[in-house]
Amino acid sequence: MSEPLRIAVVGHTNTGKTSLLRTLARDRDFGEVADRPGVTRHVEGVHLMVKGDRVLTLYDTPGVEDAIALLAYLERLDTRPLDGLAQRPDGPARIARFLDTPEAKGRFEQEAKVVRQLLASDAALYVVDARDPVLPKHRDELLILGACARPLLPVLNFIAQPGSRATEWRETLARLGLHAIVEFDAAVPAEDGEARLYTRLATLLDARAEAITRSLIDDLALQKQNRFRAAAQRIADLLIDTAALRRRVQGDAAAVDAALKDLHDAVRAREQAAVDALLSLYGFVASDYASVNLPLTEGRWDTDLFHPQALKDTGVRVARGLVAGAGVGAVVDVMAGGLTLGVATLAGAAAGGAWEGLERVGRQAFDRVRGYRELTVGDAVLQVLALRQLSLARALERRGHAAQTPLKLDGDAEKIWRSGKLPEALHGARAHPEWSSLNGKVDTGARRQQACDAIAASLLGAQATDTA
Amino acid sequence: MSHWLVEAVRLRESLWGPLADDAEIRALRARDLPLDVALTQRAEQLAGREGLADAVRIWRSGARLAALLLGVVAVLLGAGIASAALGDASRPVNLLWAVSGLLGLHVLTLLLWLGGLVWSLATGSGSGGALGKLWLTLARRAARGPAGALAPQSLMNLMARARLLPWLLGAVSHAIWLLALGAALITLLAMLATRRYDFVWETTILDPRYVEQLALWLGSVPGMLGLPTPDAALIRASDGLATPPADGRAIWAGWLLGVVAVYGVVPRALALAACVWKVRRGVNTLVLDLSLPGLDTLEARLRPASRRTGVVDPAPTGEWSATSAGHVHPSAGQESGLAFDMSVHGGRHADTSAGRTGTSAGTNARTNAATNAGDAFGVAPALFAEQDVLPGQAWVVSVELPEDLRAAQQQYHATAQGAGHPDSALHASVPNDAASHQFPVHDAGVIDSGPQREAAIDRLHAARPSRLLIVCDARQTPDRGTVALVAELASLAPQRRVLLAGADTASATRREAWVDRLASSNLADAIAGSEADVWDWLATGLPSGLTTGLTTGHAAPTLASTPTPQASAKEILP
Repeated sequence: MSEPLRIAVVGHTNTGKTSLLRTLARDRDFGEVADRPGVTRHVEGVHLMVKGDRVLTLYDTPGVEDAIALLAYLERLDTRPLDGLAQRPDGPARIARFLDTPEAKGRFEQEAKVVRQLLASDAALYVVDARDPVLPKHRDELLILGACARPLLPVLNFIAQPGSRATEWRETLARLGLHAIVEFDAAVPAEDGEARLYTRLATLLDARAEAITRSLIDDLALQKQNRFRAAAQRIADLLIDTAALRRRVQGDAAAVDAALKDLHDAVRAREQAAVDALLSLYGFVASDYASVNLPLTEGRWDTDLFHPQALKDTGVRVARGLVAGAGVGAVVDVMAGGLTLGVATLAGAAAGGAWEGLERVGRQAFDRVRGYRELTVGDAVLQVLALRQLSLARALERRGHAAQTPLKLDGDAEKIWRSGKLPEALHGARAHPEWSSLNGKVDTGARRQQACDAIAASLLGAQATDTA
Repeated sequence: MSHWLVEAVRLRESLWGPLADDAEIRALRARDLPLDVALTQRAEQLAGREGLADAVRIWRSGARLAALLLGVVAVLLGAGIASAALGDASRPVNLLWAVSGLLGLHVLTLLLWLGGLVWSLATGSGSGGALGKLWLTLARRAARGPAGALAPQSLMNLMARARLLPWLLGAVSHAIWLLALGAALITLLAMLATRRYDFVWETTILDPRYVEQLALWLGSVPGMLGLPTPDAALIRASDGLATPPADGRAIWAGWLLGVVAVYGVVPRALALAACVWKVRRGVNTLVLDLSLPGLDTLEARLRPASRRTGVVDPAPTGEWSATSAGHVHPSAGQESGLAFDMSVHGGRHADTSAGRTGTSAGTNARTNAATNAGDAFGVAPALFAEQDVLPGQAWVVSVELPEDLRAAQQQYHATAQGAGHPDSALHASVPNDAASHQFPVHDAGVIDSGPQREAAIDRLHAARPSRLLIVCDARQTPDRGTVALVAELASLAPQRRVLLAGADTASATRREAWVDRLASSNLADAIAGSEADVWDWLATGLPSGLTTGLTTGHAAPTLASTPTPQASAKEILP
């Protein structure tokens, strides 16, 4: 791999340069971020990696703070003798002259660091806090940066915040010849924000930059796809664990109630484990809750899984009688109406190996004779589980873009799951108590993994079948 | 083996939660390995640490032991079946019984295995042979503890995913069968070599021709290999009623050996070879499936999206001040007269030598205001109409004040001007004795650009105000240039206040930043509290309008003794 593309991140002080770097580098501990001026006072770089190769290096620079005085100083330097130069110095020569003065280590040390790094880079992202009023000092800043003769891509940051003056900024930047502008909110980036930023950046540069940004964009898309696939696997795992969960109970109503409570608690805990797994999969930490609109409070769902409201939230319809029992009804007592294993379960069992299905029917009949009842989780609960986790995964994928547009759960996968047509593999899982980690000993064999893959594919919906 | 460990660790983590692997991940990350190599090394290190590698080793020896045990049993059974098939030579050997006894079960299981293989290749499931499963069950006994159970489980998972499980179990089955049949063949050979047997076939309801056909058909393949085969005459003569020819015994013995070898040993040997080849090839071409739960998240950790370069250009040491980003070389000021000018005047051209006077600068400002009004980067107009002013009066100047805040200040200005007239109803709050020494408040305009800075400073130099109010926008970030300007403006009047306008809508952190930076420029005591109070102060000269929190202990007299312009400029300088 050739040398990485060097991109300096420059801008006025306190416009979110370091935040932008953190977002682009996916390094939430990079540098220091605070809402005050002059937080970053050094230049630090970060390599963006694609398949282990360094393709692009971003340099975080201190903010420009005193552009008006520096521009005046540069003009004063221009009035000095030309030091034997044959012609009037061009922009970079003027900047180089400034860097030789003691003021470049004194009053303008911060600005000197910025222009020095800019001269050593292929291009720069000029970060703008779109909420700031457009002032002459910003224009002076751009005149100084422009003198470095490096392509500048203005990045309008905090565009998603109230009080953004994007239009004013666009007009001003256009007057200075900066027409390629990209909007990128470092706190709540748009779904395709990075891709747009890199594409725009490439238009300012050469073919090599084009190839590099293309590889970055492709890598981002691939990672996104892999992440969502991993999320689907975890949800499928949760669904199998829940579908295959059984609680045998013998005795009166009190014993059944206790077993039912036990079953509910097991499923709740399992759902929580799945939520935690998804949050960690997406690298989500507590501080992200502020910027991302998740239907969670402190990492927990707002509505209890077995509350009828959960059905309503996810748009799952069930027969009236089942909801009446507020949660209890969401669980089907397998033995209540005799052998209610169900045609679908049998069909699924048959697909996965007819023997086990028939065996179960036999054992259930035997249990019934001995006065056992077997509790299992109803289809509606599985639907709620699937839809809830799916919405969480999508919200995490969009990383708070949901803050502006409410998350719409009407993908193909959601439609299928809401309709109640559960995948065959999930029905099949009901016939395999040994597949559920909630039943004690768990068999993680290839058959379970196959079922898991099939359910995950159904969660991924149509888009997965194109790419898989 | 390494794949086995990867699967064992993956299984362990998915069953009992993730292992603490930060140190391993860090070390691997630094080594820049290909992803699969890094994953394997992580698994090997963790397996070694968690005892999984030992568990696998123990299980392997257990599995070998189980296979050995099964092999011994197979040899004994094979030999037993062979001797039972021939009997003790007291009675003639029934050929049909001997052949079906020796090969019946074998052929049945072989056909079942083949059927199962076709089924499993078609469906991707299924397993390979009862003996293979028996071996697994036996080998499982060798596993101790929960970690021990992971070894066979992970091997099964691995093989099943690679579609190798039927082949692996098949190889075990075939090996056992091969041993049994080999033992039977050797036993047959030994017994036939050392004893004399008569061979007959018997039937009650079958047509003897079927038996004859069967014997010929079975003998055809061994015959092709040069083994003796009975002809029709010999078969007919061996029905137990006629007397067979003298060499008939040898031919039948050769036929029997040939049938066992060709239909027993050879197919099993071929099947074994096929299974071993398949497993070997499968294992050698095994690739890590990075999309498996547990492995899918490791890529992000082993290969982070970015890597820091470290600090390229270090931060300056020393305290922040408005006129330097950091440490200032003690000699910097002396090295260049130019630099010295810059430090003193905060970015303004030190162009008093150019002969520009305060009045001409004021005129300039007004002209600029007239011509460039409305241009964002031009010189902003003064907010209010101006009269000729005498020194020692009250002035207000705004720094980078956006339109929305200007209106409020204009309102206050109008009120302050009104306060100059004792009968003003607007200023009822001002005490009468204060109203008796009113001054008009002059406005030096809004300073945005560099030229505006020069103009305003020149004008204030000329005006020599006694009280100066500097209005800033608290919502903006106080950058060094702005604070330096405020400090320079503040040095132009003996009494000065800085009003942070819009503080009610600004975030607390922004306001704090202003207070911090103004304090660094020795202006902490000049920060105004409420807008109304500070405008009262400006209009009346009465001490009020300071923030209580910042000026505890400061009373009116301190206001009179604010530093002279020279003093405050020196304090800023290194």
